[in-house]
This record gives sequence, structure tokens and C-alpha cells, in this order.
Amino acid sequence: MNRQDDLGLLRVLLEVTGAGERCALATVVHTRGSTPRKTGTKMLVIPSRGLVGTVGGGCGEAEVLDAARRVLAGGRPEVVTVDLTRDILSWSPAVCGGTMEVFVEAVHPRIRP
Amino acid sequence: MRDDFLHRLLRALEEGRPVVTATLLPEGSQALILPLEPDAGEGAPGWDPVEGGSLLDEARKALLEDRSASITSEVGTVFLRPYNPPVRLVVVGAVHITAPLAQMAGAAGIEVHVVDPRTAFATAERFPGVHVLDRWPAEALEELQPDHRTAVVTLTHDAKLDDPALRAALASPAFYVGALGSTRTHAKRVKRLREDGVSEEDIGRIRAPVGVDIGARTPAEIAVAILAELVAHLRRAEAS
Repeated sequence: MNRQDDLGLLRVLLEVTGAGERCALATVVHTRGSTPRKTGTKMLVIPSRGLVGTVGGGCGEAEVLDAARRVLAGGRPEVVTVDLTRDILSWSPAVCGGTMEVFVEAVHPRIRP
Repeated sequence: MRDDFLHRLLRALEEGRPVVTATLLPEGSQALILPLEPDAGEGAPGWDPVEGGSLLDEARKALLEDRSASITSEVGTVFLRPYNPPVRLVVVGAVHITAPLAQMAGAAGIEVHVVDPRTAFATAERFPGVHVLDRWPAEALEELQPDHRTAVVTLTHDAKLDDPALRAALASPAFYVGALGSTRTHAKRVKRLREDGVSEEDIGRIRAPVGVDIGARTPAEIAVAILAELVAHLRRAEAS
């Protein structure tokens, strides 16, 4: 994830929260073996719009989306372990053969006076 | 998390400040750390690692290596995510090598600034997509404030322009400082810089003749040699 991606994602996120909407932010915090995305990569889940960025391009993103749903419903932040070695959606085990830990948290608009 | 934290992060990024976010996992408390700034310690959380240096040291390391890291503290795992300003290349001299160098550096994702007070040379039309400053090098570098992600290369062969740029670059934490010119030209330059009171250690930081020795002949080939050396300095410094 390069600087332009980081800036783009942050700007979209703040636009969403600025309009009073909540969203969920997923960050790859640990990887083991071969994973599609590097540690530090972020993905944004916006209920009204969809996804910005990717933490896996399909590989294991379902687990992350489930966690995003839970944190948006008021749950505590979570660290989700995604095992890409058993991903039935992955055609090539050589591409996604590792595991990664993804931190998922809700971002709330600040209460503005 | 509240979005004000991310507003602060975005502001720091837009100001071009190197910043690290620290997140306590899985609970989610976050802190913004500016480990390269003089008052970095103020307001930093007490999530120091169980073994080794301080949280600030680890944050600094993450920035310099440009790599995320996890540390184990007494309160839990702390995830550090560095946000570096873009790599910048300041080219002093709008000369024949400058155009291909600016173009290739741009393709490598580097932000290029061309400095030349001779306004006939430094025009925005000659260097598309590049920041052109028709200013004296010392002035331009004062404004650009080279940091650990900045490279400075002088190409003019004119001591009036190259020397002040080199002095300013060597007084900064720039990760790469290169000067065009033969070994003989460089020996004369070293003599001048020494007389100006530049230390031997700083003089040793200048890469001259500039670039990896690949037998380059054309301006574009010289640009390849310079860019290759610049990338080697950047990535090896991160790795070591």
C-alpha cells in the first residue's frame, strides 16, 4: 500500500464519518507464509457504499467482512485470523498459502456541537 | 475509534511529517507518534516493549525501515504502522541529464524537484510533472528541508550552484547526496568544501562521480546509473 493509497483511503473515510456515517476499518497486522497483502495494508468497509482497498483480493475477505459487520453492530474491536491455506475460493494455493491476522475496528463520527 | 484520531493522522501526512500509529491489540486504543521530532516523547503512551528499547525507539525503527512492526509490551501487543513522506529527489541544475532523470524517478514513484536559478533552463514546460524552482540552491533547499527520505543530486558543474546545494544537503539527514563531475572535478570540489569548513565525514557522504559505474554514455544512461545508486542507498539503509 503506497502513500497515495493511504491518503485516498483516509480521505474517503473522513468524508463518510463527516457525513455522520460509521464505517469499519480493517488492517493487516501480522502475516505468516505467503499472503497477498503486506502488513499494514488497510481496507475500509462502508455500509452504504461498499469496500475501499483490499486486504486480500477475495482471499479470506469473507471472514473480515463478518467481523466488520459485528463491530459495526456495536461489538468490540477484533483481531481475525484468516487462514488462506484452506480458502476454497483461492484457485492457486501458491498465491495465498499463508495466514494473516487482521485487526477490525469501527470508526465513529466525533459528536460535533 | 473516533474519527478525530484519523483527522490528526491525515493532517500530519498532508504536512509531510513522518508519523507512526500505535494500536494496542485487540482492545484498539491508538496513539499518534512523531518519533523524529524533538518533542516526540510528550504525550506518547507508556507502551514500552518488555525487552529492548522504548516505544519511541521502535517507532523510529519502523519509520526508518518503512515497515510495520508488532511489539510486546506489559499491557499487550502494540502494532506500529509507519507513514513516511514520499521519497523526494532534489535535482540541482536543469541540464541535459535532468529530463530523463526526472522522468525515470517519477516512474519509480519519487517526487522530483528541479532547482535552477537560470530561468531560461528551468521552465515547467521542459519538465512535465515535476516541481520546478527557479531559485538559488541554498534558498530552495532551505524551503524544501531535506529529510531522511530525500536525495539531492547536483548536475550543473558550476561551483556557484553545486557547492551551496551540497553544503545544505550535507547539513541535512538526506539519505543520498550525489555530484556530477569527474574524479578530478570532484577533487577540486572537495578542496573548496574543506576550505568552507565542511567535515571529512560529511565530504565522504558525497557520491562522486555520481551513479553506479555502468559505463553510461548518454544522458539517459547516466540517469539510470544515478537512479540505481539512489535506490540502493534507500533500500539498503532500510534493510540494515
